[in-house]
Amino acid sequence: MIKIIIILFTFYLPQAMALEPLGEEELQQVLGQGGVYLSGDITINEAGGPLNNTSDATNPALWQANCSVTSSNKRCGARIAVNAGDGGNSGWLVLDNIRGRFSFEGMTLKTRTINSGFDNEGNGASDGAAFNGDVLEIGLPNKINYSNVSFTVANSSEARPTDVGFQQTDILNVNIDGDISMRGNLLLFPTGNP
Amino acid sequence: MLNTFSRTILLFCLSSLSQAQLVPIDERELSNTTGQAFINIDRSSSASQNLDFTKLTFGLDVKTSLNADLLELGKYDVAGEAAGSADIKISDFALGHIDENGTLVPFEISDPFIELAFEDVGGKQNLAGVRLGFGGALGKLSGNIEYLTGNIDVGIRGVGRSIYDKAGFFQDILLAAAGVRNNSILSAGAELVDKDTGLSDRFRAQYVGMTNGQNLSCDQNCGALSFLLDLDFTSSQGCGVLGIDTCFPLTNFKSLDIGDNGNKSEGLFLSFQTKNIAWVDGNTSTPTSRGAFMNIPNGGITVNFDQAFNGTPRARTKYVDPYFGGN
Amino acid sequence: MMINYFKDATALLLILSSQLSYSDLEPLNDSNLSDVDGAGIGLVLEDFVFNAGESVNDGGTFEISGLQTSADEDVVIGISQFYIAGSGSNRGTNVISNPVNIGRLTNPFNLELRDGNDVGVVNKAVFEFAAPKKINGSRMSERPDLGIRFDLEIDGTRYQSLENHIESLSIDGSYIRLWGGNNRMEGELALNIYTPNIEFFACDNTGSNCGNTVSFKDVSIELELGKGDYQPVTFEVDSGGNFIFNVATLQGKCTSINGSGGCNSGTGTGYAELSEFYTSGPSTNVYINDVVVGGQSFGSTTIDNLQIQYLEVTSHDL
Repeated sequence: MIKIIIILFTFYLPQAMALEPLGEEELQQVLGQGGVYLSGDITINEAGGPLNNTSDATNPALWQANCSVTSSNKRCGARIAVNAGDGGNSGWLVLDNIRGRFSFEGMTLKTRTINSGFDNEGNGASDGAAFNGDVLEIGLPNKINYSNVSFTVANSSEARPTDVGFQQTDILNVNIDGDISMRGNLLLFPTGNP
Repeated sequence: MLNTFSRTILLFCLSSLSQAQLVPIDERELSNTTGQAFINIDRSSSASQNLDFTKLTFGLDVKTSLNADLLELGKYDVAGEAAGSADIKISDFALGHIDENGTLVPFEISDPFIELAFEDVGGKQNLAGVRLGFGGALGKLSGNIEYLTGNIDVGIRGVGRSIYDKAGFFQDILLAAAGVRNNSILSAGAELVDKDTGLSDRFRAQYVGMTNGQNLSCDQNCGALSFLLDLDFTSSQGCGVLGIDTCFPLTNFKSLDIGDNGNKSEGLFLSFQTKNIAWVDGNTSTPTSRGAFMNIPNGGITVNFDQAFNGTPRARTKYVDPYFGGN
Repeated sequence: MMINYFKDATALLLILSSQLSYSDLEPLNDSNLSDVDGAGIGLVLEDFVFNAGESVNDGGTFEISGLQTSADEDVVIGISQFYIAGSGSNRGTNVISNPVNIGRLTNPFNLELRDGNDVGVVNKAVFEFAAPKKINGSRMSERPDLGIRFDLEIDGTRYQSLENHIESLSIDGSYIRLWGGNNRMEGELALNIYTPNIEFFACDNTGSNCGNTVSFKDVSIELELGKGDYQPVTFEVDSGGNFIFNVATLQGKCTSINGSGGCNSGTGTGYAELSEFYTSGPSTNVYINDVVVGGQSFGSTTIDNLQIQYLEVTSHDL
């Protein structure tokens, strides 16, 4: 019975449901939300990566690395490689072994209309009045906590360690651990004549 | 729940299986990572001067051709020096040149470094000096050198004929008596001097030449009496020897060849210090004085006598060069 | 039982019907793209403070390692304070309650895709990130103080700290432009630094017993590198893993060389472009009004109209 139902459903052709643009009047009915309050906690390969699985003895770890928090093994982090040259004969600028955890709380996102203020503490003309427009205000979090975030700046001859002829020269390692304090807002708005 | 048929259909409808099978790296590939980099930081001490040095060296090879209207460092009034003078003032400064085929010949610098000198005064680390130096330098340095503070050792080496051309009749007799022939190879050392006294003057100098007591020496094809050149009365006094000028204005040398016979020479640096400091490069110690200082090392510049007397012409440094009529 | 069957069937239905949507995204073709006008995004920082470092309440440690001495000993540089705040930060002691606005609503930092024909790059889109434009009378309330403290540790021993503080910094007029040309990334950059005071001083390994201060007063640095596609700047890594930073050479720009190596004037020889380069092309100027060390003045420094005809910087292992 279930087989028949399934087969019938496989032949069911649903209505084509393409996206269509909203007309102007419909768009004007859309009202914006008040704002967003964000907190984040991002961990990158803190204890190794998905390729570092040593639990199955019959399928040993592909990267053969020790990826505890204190390990500086090169195969344990994320990797970004960029080639700004002509591709064939040029090498790669690399951020290697990217790992760690950083978290923040209290980043806000909202729109704001500015038509006053920004007047050099009362000593000049008001930029806000001259600007008279809307901005996207990103409130910066008061504190960002970095927990053993580290990466290595390096150069390599090929994009990936698995490529033939791969050779990498490490330049320096960066390690960040602790809190960073910030205050203030980042304001974004369009410029020019769109 | 789902029988085989249903599962089969389900599987077909799901996205295709990944074809990107992971392949393990073997040890050989993993080992192709080197840890050395192009920055070195060194720390050393000089107990005799009570100074600690921190040196940041960059493993860089630089090739450049550049022009500047003015390079002026340390401009302040000092008693005993001309008003408006500066420790170092070079106008129409250029590194590198263009040869007669229109090929740009760059000035080459290797392994530049920044070094800081600290003095321990009552437990406090006072910054006493900073210098920007080059592990090696090779190429043409051009400019009108109006004032120079520092050390510039010029080796003058050339044939006796050039001196005969400059000398008067009486001087010719003296030179002949000293065993100097037209094809004799003579040499002398020149440094920054005070033109009026012939004394060494490293501070805001405008002349380079033989200091008092320096002698010409005959290196090849010399007559038996050439030892006479080493005597006191044939030494340079007050910028002259045997009546021949031995000091030359720095502005005469419009282009200098830095380097040692086509190889990079070490020890070229520009420094700034609050007191006398002897900067150390390997086994060489270069004493410097308060203020800005430029060191052009031994073997750094070699000229022949013609160039010493008449100056060296300015090499072409631009494709549209006002020194060459705007072309 | 029946419910399970319906669950399965619904799942199957959803999977199958998803294959049949007709609302695919289609790529824009070139003629659509050329109609995209480069309006930019303005950025302004309002009431901004940034403070990092262990010497400030629960600050973060920031370490750079992997460097070595020439004897292959390990070197670690710690950054024990880095701050950006308003005027009067007093060498990093008055930071958190001292905010600053960076950029103006009417003259912001700008991120834009520009028409290359306006900036000397023919028929290409140019990515540009620019600081506020230079205008007369920039306000002191928009010029941040910033500072950094480095701790030097060699082979496990902490030696000294070096502190650097910059007051009322303005980078107005700076920009970086990037585009694709000759199968690689090319660029042009300008960096302006204006500040009334830059200070350096050294302290011992605990950050106290600080020595005398070296001050550079009234600093003005205007650096320009590159000139559109006439003299592009490139930054690459070679196949051996070394950096190459290159400002393209002027050699070859002239097609008619005279006997002394210069360029013959006349149409089509490249003389006009070279003349224009020397009179109004990219030029670097540096002026420091006074260098003061421990209260003693060491005079002014000037580098006037420095122009680069060729620059190649290649790194190698030491």
